[in-house]
Amino acid sequence: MKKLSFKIWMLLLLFITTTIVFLVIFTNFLYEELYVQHTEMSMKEVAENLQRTYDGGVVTNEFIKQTEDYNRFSDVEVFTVRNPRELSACLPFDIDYDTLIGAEERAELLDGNAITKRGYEKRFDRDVASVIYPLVDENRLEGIIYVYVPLTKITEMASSDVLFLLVIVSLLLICLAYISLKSLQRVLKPLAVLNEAALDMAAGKYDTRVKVESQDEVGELGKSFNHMASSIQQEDDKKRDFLSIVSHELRTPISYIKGYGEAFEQNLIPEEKKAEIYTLITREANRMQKLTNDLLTVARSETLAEVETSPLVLAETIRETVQLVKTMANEKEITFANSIDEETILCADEQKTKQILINILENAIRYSPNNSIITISNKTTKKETTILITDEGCGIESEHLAHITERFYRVNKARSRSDGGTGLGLSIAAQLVEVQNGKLAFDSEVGKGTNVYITLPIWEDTFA
Amino acid sequence: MKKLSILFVLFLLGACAKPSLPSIDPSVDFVASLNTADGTIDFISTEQKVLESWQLDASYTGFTLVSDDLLLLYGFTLKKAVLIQLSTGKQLATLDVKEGTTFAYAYEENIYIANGKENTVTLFNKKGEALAEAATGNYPMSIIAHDDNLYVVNFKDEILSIFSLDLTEKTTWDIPNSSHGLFVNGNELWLGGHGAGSSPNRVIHRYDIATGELLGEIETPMMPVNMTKAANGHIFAVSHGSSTVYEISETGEVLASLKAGANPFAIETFGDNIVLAGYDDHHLYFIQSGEVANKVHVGKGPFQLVVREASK
Repeated sequence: MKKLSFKIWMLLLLFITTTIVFLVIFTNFLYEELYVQHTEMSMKEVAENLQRTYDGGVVTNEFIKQTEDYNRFSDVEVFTVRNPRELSACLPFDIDYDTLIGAEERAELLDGNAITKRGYEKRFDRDVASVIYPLVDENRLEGIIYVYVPLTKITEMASSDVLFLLVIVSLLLICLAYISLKSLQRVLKPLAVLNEAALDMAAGKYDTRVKVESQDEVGELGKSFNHMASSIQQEDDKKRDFLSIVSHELRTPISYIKGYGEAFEQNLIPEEKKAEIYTLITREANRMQKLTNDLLTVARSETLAEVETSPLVLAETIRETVQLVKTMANEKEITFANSIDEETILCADEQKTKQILINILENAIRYSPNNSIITISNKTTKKETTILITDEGCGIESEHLAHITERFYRVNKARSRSDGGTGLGLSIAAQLVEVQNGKLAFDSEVGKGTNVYITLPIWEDTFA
Repeated sequence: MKKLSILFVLFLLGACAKPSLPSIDPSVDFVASLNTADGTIDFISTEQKVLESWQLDASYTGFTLVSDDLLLLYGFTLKKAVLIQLSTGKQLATLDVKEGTTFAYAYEENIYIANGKENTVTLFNKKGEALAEAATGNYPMSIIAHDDNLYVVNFKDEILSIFSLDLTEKTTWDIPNSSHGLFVNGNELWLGGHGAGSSPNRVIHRYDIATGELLGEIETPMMPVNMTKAANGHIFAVSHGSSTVYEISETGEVLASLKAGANPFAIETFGDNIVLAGYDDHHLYFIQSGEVANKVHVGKGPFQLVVREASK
């Protein structure tokens, strides 16, 4: 496979060569058309001036001398011919002599017309541009005025220096080829670097970054690559964190259960403590069960493509959910203030919606102080409704707000899971809201409480 | 079917038969010019009017009167020379010549054809039968007969060949290259020419007709190529390079000169006129008493002239 740089280089070389060839042809054309035409015009002028001084009869020696004098000061060659042999006067006879003018030219000249020629002239053994004017007296071709300039072709002009010219052109070509190659390499080098970086990424080195030096398209590509690499690295980090957290979260209850199990085995637990230990083991087992259930939910909701929606009375769903978390709330003597609009019908999956509400409400209960109130209300627009759940908890600092839906994210790192949360509740809620085309938002004030906004689509027939 | 075949034969005969040219009254005197540039012959009467014009069907480069009623036409590129009867305009016979005919000369019952490609002279009779052939120098052209001798000028050579009338070679003389135009003046053979290379010939050479000895030169610039004897006994020579006609006495003295015509090659005596053919200006000039008395427009490129004076 030929490299892109080689292809572009070849193309450049082709362009350069074409340009040089075109320039040569064009220069030649200009020379032919402009220089030669101009020369022909001035030659005609010379010939006409001389022709005007001819007053008939035999072409005299004075006339010939006058032409020669003219020749001395002119940059064109001019001479007068009166020798009938040169003028093809013996034309009907087969003469072994190369005359200056041919039969057709003689006929033209006899008619009084001038002749303009361009090409090889045997007499001068070179390419010439010439004009011939007749000296006619009573139908007799007494002589001709012959004006010419050698057509020194550009190539001929440099004929002695052809080698020099070739060397110069070759050197120029080599120089241009070298410069274009180097420029191309310079332009395309970042692509090679990117290629290497991509291979490194594929090999698992997610910390690979390219150095972006240019602001062009290649530079943009480098930036995009770096951005992509950062995203992949972040995802990789998240995956590692997730796995370490999961293993950590599972290890704690297992350690409890294992420890107490072994203690029971060796009869180390006094009788009066046994009931407490059983409760502890059950609690830890429950936590493990809840954690594995939550992980399963997370894994499922990640692969969920479509959700089966149905009309769902929001007020009814809220009431049922509140009933489910009532036991937990009662422990902390927390009450609910429910002002949900009875008319609102959601377009949502019942189980998923309930799971969202449970997760949010459990979270609210968990972080609310005893004897506090959790308010539930909603506000409906044309196509959706926003459920607002407000607690009077400790609140969340704004720097953490953006991260609270991340898995196992802890606002207070030192805090244990003793409150019974798995660290997946909000993450699951956010995923389930998303798959139902909804939105989950938070705002919070430290020490005052947190507002959770769950926006879900409503059943449009409601307003139909 | 039979009728059809007859028709077909008639058609073939019709296709083969040459259309005849306009006839020329046998009792009329004329001077005729062969105009090589447009392939025509113009017959001019003694009244100096064009009697008849013939449009020729081939590229004839020369012609000569074989008898008062028989005109021979030939061409350098043609393989046949033709004999045409003037009184009927019909072609009577053809001469199988080879390509390269440069000149034809009729003398008594003989026709001599010079060939510049083969370098031969061939003798034909008036029926068109070849009787004899002789090798010459390079490019034989001008021919004249005198006292049982045939003088042949080799145009691209420096020799003049002399044959008997039946083409037995007798001798050769040294002459200049590009010689052309023969004239017998008493015991002298006068010879003009173009000149070799770039230098044009300026003289007529006078040779002793018996020995070939160069007797002298007559200054007649430039390029005298044809001569004719006028009624007054003077010889008129035409120099085409200077378009000049010279009147020369029998002793070889130039008596007068006259600029006439444009590049004239041919000169003939017609009655009391000297007729000159201007090749470049397509006119015949009638010269009387050293002046151009009249000029007649003819076809393009009048190159040769023949004169028939049947009444004489």
